[in-house]
Amino acid sequence: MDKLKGINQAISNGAGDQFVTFTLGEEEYGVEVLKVQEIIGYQRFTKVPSVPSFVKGVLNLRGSVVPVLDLRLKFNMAYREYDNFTVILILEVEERVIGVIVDAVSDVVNLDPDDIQQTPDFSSGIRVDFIKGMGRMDEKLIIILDIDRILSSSELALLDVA
Amino acid sequence: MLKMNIRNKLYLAFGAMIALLVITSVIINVTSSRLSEANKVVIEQADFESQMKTFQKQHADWINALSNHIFVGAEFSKTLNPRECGFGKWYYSYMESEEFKNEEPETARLMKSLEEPHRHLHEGGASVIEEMNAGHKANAMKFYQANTIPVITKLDGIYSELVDNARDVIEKRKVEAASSESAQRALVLLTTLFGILLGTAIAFFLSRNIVAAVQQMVTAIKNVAKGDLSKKVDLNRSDELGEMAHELNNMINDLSKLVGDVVVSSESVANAADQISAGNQELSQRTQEQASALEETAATIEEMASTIKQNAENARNANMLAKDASDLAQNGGRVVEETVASMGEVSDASKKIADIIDVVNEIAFQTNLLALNAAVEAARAGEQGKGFAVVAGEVRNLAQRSAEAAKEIQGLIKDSVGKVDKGNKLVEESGKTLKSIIDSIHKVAETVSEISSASQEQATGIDQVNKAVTMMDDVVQQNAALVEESASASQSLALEAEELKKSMSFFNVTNDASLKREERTSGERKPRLTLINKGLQREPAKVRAKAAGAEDLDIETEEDFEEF
Amino acid sequence: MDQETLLETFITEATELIQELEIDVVALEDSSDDVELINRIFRAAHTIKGSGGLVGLTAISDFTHSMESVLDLVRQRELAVTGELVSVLLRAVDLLKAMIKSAATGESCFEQRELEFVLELLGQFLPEREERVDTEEMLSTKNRKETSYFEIEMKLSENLLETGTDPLMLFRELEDIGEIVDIVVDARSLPDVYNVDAHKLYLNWRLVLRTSEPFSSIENVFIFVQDDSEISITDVSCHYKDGVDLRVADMRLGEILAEKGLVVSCDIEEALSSQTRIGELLVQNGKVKEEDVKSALDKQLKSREVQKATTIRVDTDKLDKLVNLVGEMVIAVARTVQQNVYESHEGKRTTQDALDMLQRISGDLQEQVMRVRMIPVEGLFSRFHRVVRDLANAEGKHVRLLLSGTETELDKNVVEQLSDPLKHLIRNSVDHGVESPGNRRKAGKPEEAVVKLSAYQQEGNIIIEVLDDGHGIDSNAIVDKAAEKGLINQGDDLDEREIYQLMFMPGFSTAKEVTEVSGRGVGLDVVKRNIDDLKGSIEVISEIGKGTTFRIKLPLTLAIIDGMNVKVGDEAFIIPLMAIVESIRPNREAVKTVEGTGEVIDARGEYLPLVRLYNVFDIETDKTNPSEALVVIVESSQRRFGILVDDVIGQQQAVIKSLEKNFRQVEGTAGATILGDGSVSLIIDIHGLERMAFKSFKSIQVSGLEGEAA
Repeated sequence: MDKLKGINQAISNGAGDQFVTFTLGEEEYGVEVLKVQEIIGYQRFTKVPSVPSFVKGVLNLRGSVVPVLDLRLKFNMAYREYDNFTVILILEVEERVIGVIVDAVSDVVNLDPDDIQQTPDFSSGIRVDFIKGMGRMDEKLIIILDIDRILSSSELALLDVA
Repeated sequence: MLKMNIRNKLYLAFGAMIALLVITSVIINVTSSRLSEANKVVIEQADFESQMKTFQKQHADWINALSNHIFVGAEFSKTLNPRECGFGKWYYSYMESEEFKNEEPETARLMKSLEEPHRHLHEGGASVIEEMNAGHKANAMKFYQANTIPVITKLDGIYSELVDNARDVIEKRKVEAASSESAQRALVLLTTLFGILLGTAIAFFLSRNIVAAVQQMVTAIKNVAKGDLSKKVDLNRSDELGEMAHELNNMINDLSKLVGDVVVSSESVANAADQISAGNQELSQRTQEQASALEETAATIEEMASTIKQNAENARNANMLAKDASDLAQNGGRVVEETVASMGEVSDASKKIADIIDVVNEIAFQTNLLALNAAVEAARAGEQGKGFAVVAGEVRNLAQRSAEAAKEIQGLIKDSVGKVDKGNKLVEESGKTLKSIIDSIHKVAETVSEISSASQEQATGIDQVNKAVTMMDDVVQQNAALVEESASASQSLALEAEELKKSMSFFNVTNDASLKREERTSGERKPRLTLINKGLQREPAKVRAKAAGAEDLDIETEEDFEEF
Repeated sequence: MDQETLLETFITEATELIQELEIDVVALEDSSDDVELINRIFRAAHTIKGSGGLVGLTAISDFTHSMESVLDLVRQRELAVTGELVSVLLRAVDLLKAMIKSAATGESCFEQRELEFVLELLGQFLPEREERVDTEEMLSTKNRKETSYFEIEMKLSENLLETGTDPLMLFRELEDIGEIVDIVVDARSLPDVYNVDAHKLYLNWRLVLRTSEPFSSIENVFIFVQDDSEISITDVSCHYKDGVDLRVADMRLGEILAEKGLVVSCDIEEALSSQTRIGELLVQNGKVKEEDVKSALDKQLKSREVQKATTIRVDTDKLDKLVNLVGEMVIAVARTVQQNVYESHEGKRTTQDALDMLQRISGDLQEQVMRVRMIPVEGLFSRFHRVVRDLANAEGKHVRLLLSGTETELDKNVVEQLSDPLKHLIRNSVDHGVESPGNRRKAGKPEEAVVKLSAYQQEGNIIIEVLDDGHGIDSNAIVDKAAEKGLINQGDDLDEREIYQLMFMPGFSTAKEVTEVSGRGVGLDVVKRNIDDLKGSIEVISEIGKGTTFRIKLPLTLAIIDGMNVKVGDEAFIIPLMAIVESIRPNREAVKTVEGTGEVIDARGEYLPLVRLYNVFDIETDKTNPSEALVVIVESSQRRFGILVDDVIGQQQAVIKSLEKNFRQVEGTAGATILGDGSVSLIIDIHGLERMAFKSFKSIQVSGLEGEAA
């Protein structure tokens, strides 16, 4: 029922502050709903040589070739085996379509701007500049990611040097 | 000097008789041949006489033909050649023949005187004819008258002389024959008389000389036939009879020596037979011993065989039992296997259910995803997506609930699968234990089976040994039979020797020491031979009976042997 | 065809002809002895003249006539080819262009004065009398009689000879009024030699007469024979152009020969049944003389050439859509076929056959569609001869333009859009890059400078280079100027490549004096923008004193490649078929390790470096033993080498999907494609792979720099 409530909230408040939440390990993260193109189940992808380990490869999304990143690895978290319930978030960043592997997608939530705090001194493996803020939802903390930055061309282009 | 033995005496006697016979026949033969020769001369002279007469006539015919030719002018067809007329032909050939040379001188002279007149006659005839042919009939006639007639008259005269001469010869011969015939008769009579006298003398002498000696010898032979070899013929003669007597004496001597030898040999034969008997006795004894030993062996083997048989039987039983045990164990194993299989099926089914749950789960997941996407879409659509978002939320709720339910079922199934797995393991373990039991039972059964087969083999071996013993027994029996045969043979040999000695006692021989000694030894042995014979005759039948029935191990006790 | 369409066709044709004409005239200066070239120029002028007259553009027709007269003299070797002549001719060509433009737009794009002047210039080369007449005629611009083609079929009476008429006379009369361009004798009614009546005529003729005389004058020729002969005269002008029978283009060589009566159809059928080329065969069989075949072939060729000139313009957008659709279709078909293979059972035989056919047809279709879009860069490149010539002349420099790789094909759109930037770069080279003859002499270089324009394909890209052997670019000067213009800070530490990139920034010009050409407006920034529009890149390589190279790298936007699908571990790759020499399974002894060089493989006696794809791309596979795997021998521009793969799956066409669109360029790959089963497969870039495998191989890599810089 909590979830329903969340959705209802999301609806009443409009899309601007809606987030798709997902889990990585213990933490719950959120991305702006408008960045999300769709959510797909795990599917086989083609490995690409000479790329950092967090780039798992490319897959065919309705005729276009889309890279797939493992966010766990990007955030220097432990690798987790993929299974049929692994979820790929298809995101749209800088006109690029990029797939991001996460542990599981939880919900579409509505966060009041008041509930979002600016990034505190947050001790985690994740770079501070990747985090937009911290959302509070009931008892849960939702880390709002700056996905534009995480998946910016410079972040990806850095890979070329590697 | 010729020895006067019987053969020569006989030759002499019969030779004298044959000589008389020959003299007589010679006398007869000589006289009879003189007679026949005289006869022959008579006949020859008669033939000659007639031949001369024929020639006389022929010439008369010739003269007539010539005169006819001269006077009548008849054709003259007779020969003018003196060698071609009948007489000419004969005369000339005869004069040259041997016959003529043996002719009596008178005859020969006459015959020679014939030649000239005859030749003249024919030559004259030729002259006549010549004259006639010349037409000188007159000359012819004259010549005829002058020459021819005298010639023919002379010839005719010779002819006549010849005939007379022949008649004289015949007469002379007839006289000579009559005188020789009477001389012959007297000679034959004389000879015959001498022969009768001589024959009678010879017969008397010869019979008296031979018969006495022969009678003496007959007596001697009669003595030998009676068995008396001690008497000899006393005849001192140099002829054949003397020789005969001498030989007879020799024969008696030899015979008496031979009888002595036979007596000695028979004694030694009896002796040998005795020894053989003794050997046979020993052999028989040993054979008996062998037989008894064999019987003992057979009995032991029989016992052994029965034990082994029992052994084999026991092993077979044990084998059966082991097999039964194994079967039972196997059945148990099968049951365990079936249990395992059905447990496996349960497990499989559980797994299938788990798979289905997985599918349900997956569907829930997909539904959730779809609902999420719908929520995203709805969010993007803003106000317009409101209703849609509610529905999406409901769908997500349902999906999550079904996912949770699926998860619960999954847990239960997992639990059951785990339990089944545990049970499976237990069953599998008991199966394994059973299997090991089966394996050991198998091993036991195998061992027992091996023992059984070994016992079987042993029984077969013992059987074979038994057979061999039986065969040995047979051979011993045969040996005993042979010993018996040999004993009887030696006994009969002793008897034969005795018989021989008995026969030999028929002869009365001159005194001899060896014979007497033999008679003493043979008398001691006789009773023993009979004993052996008795024992052997009884035993073989029993031994044979034992050999025939191998199972019947009733062996003759020793008492039976004590008789020996 | 109505008049307007006719006019449009003429303009299209004439534009192309003039383009060719221009290129040829420029070429004439260097190869004045090339008879074929002269003939071609002459023919072009002649054709423009003829067709111009046909559509009523008498001014054009007349003007080209005077050009033709001059060219005729050149053709006749009465006039030598000089620089002056070429300049005049080029001026005439320019004028002609303007005249056609006028005809097309309806506006006057040229001055009458210029026309008169050019005519005068042309007149200088003509003998006195003719020139005047021609000029007069031209200026009067009166309607001249049109040249017509008449096909005359003569079925003459058998008894013609008895009437005292000689057929030869007829031909002479025809020659008087025109030119017999084609004649065929029909000897079919000729009996065998024993039955020939010397007084009878058995031959018939069919001929084509080109004449300016009207129909009636031809009729007059036959006035004496038409009573008892069948003479048919047809105007066939519409089928003829330039004396060439256009219908022949559609005919088979055999038909042409048969029509000419050289062979009978059964000979052709016989020839066709064997696979040898018909012409060769007919010659071999002694049926026709070689010359006859040659002339027939020439005729056919000529006709086709002329016909090729008529093209249809299609909107490239339409083509784009077409190509994309076809590409998708090919993939869809492949997928269907694959699906069907998996599921096929005995009953689906016919379906399978139909699918096979569909696949083949779709493949052909794709190829054809692709081909429609692609044109060689030759046309584009050739245009620059004139540019170089004019500019060099204007600046008193001696410059030779060398072209290479003109056969390289590019999307027509790209070719067109390349025209302006290339022209600018060439001008740049001639204007700024190349020194004056004096300076060159001082620098110890030959007076004649070389500007080289070359095109080639590399790593799935088309590379176009503009190279000059001039003084090169002083990077310090660029830095100074950039700083002066405020583009950079004085203290910025820039490497050489970045410095050269400054030249493409707006508002940057290094030319110390603005010449007429450079001053026209377009700078290198525009060039760069144009190239960017084409999704290409541009870079500069320069060496002081040696020269400068502008290198344009263009993607094959429509690239669909034929590739070999290979397997390494779980991954599938496409190796471009173009690069593949062969695939071999080496035996154990064939692979050797060479100190310092790595592994080599003995491929038919040749030792080639062996690249283990699983090593280069870091893929797990258990097929690491070459004798159990396969080696694909490929050939790059640098060398041949073997690529060790697990297995070769098969040949297939791949629609190149960009990796950069959503990601970035991946070294060693030329993009990705989607396989029949929907999975993504990377397309191997042979050059990139080579570079990765042989680190010693040096090449300047441009892509990705911008991102890093930003």
